[in-house]
Amino acid sequence: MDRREFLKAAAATAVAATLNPRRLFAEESPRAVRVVVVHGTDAARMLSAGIESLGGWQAFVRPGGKTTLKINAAWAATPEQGANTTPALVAAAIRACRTAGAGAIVLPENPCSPAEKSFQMSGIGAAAQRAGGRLYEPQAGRDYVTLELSRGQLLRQVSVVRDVIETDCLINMPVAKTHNGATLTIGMKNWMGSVRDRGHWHRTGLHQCIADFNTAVRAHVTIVDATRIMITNGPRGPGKLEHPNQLICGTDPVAVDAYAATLFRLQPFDIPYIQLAHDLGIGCGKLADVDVQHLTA
Amino acid sequence: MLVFLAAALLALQILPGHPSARALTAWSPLMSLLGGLAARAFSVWMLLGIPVLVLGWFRCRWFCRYVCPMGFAAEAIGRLNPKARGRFARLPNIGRLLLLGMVGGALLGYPLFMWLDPLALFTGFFSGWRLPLAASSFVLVLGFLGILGISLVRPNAWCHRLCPLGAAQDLLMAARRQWRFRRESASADAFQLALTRRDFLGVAAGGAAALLMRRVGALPPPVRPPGARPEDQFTGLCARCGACIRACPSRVIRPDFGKSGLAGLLTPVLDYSEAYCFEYCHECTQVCPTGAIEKLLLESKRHRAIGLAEVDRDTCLAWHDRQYCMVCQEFCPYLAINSVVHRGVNCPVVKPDMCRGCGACHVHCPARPDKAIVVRGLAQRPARPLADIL
Repeated sequence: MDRREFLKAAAATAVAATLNPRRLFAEESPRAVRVVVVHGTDAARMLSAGIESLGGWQAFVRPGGKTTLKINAAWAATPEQGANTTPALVAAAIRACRTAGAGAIVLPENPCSPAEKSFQMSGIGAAAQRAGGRLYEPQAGRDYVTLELSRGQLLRQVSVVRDVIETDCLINMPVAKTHNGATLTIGMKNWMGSVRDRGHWHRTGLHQCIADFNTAVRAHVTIVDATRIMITNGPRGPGKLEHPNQLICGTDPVAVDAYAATLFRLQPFDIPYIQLAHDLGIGCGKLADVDVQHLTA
Repeated sequence: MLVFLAAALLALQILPGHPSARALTAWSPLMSLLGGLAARAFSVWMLLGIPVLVLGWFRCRWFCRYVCPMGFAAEAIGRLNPKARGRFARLPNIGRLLLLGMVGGALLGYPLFMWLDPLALFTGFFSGWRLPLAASSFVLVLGFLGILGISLVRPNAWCHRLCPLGAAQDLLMAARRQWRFRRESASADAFQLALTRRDFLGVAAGGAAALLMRRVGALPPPVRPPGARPEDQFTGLCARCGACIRACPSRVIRPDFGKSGLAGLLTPVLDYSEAYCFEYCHECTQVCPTGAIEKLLLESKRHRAIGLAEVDRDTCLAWHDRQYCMVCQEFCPYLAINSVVHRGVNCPVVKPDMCRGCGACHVHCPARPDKAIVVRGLAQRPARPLADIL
């Protein structure tokens, strides 16, 4: 290769990188995106195995800092119904963060059912309290901040829970379910429990708003509760359950959702917001480019 | 005085639990016994009305003197106008006519003047404070204040001439006098109750009015609390005491002002503009003193339809704007909304046999400015199968 050729190649690479950075990096180091799928029945052990494989809690939790866990406690439903994150998993995550040296551990949730009832029936209120996390319903004004979404296509501004934005470690811990509006709700859609005006998203374009939000808010790690998944009548149920007994962990929110979609026998790009998020470069929704590792714990 | 304060405390319903909500109003035999008669229903609480009647037989107006918080307040206000103390005697005894009309009405399922029960007026006053400012909450408060006003102008007029509960006790006293007299004289021609022909006419008129009122149904029927009697009886049975309104944790029950016509003024209706009827709650069905709202177990309440949701396809975000929404389905606690694919988007369709009319869809519908799914009332409130829980 002479100098001219080298310069041409460099220019072409630069152009390609500007146009679509993700593809370039995917080409250079194939399957750089990792998703860890832990199979098992003990939530605490599965969680620990999954996080260990991603570099351990030290990679995410800052000692003495604030840790925000975005669980799903949206519905007044029992843990067996699979509408909310498994309380044992929530407790295990809080304990693990605490062990890793986290300072305050907060679990903000703007639920759909009345908060008191959701937190009580889901078992997450009790689990969080025992483990030492603060589960709370954000109050208008005090607990919300306005976030500008410079990369948003439809959603340019959103009122979002302060603890989701101003935190040292953001962990997304959704449950995977069907959803009649969004097809599936996994990780990226779980943020709707952190925004004030969900109705606006429904009026404006749900899938685009979900993708837009994720351009600005990114969890350090996403842990999807797929110990049991609601495959009909979601997101609230009661619906038919399946038990994949899996925990899906990863740092790429799009890849995590893409893998979870396969549990519902869907192609990732069947879900419009996964496609939109992929196109916006938030992460990789193309499972062929994702390194999915299976573990047993 | 102590009793007044205790009653006020009960009426404010600071104390938790259903017994505290019923402890005051159950003492009124009008509400408990006539209500039970009209609703053809029985509750243990109704037994509380009996001691008041029994004591009324032995002690003249025992209830009015020692228990009734309304009477206490009216008397206290009346003292401010000592000059007019005796003037009430010139007024006709309206209370007696009201009472007899109520008895006649109750026999035919529509006790006409339940809302004039002093305990209902008293507790209604305290419900008014807990409501958002609206015309109806004003009117609810006005009953109590109105009686205080009457008492200031004409002391004792309320208790002795207007109050049907007072009249009931007077009637008891008169009957006792008659009974004693008969026992002493033991003559056959003394076998005449204190009732005159006019009184019987009063009962008959009450019955006739009841039949008439039951014909005048409000159209369209409003959404009532679960367990509410059929619309043709409800407005008569309801004492407007506000117990259900105060019991409701979601504050979805409001005193009506117009939706159910004049006959339904201040009766409880559900307002889904800010809240819905929780699927895990049956508080309002536990506190009704007159039986206007049937006592329902939570499981039965979950089977009771109080309304029916309707989708307006011209404003629905999914049907009209092709938005991915289905918020109504998401929030429905009873799996009463199906989704059908229309132009590639899931759109809601209500399953009439599953919908209970709880309003979860109505309140959460994101369509603006008007909700695209609204709940309409039912004149009859049928039981529905519960969603299959898998």
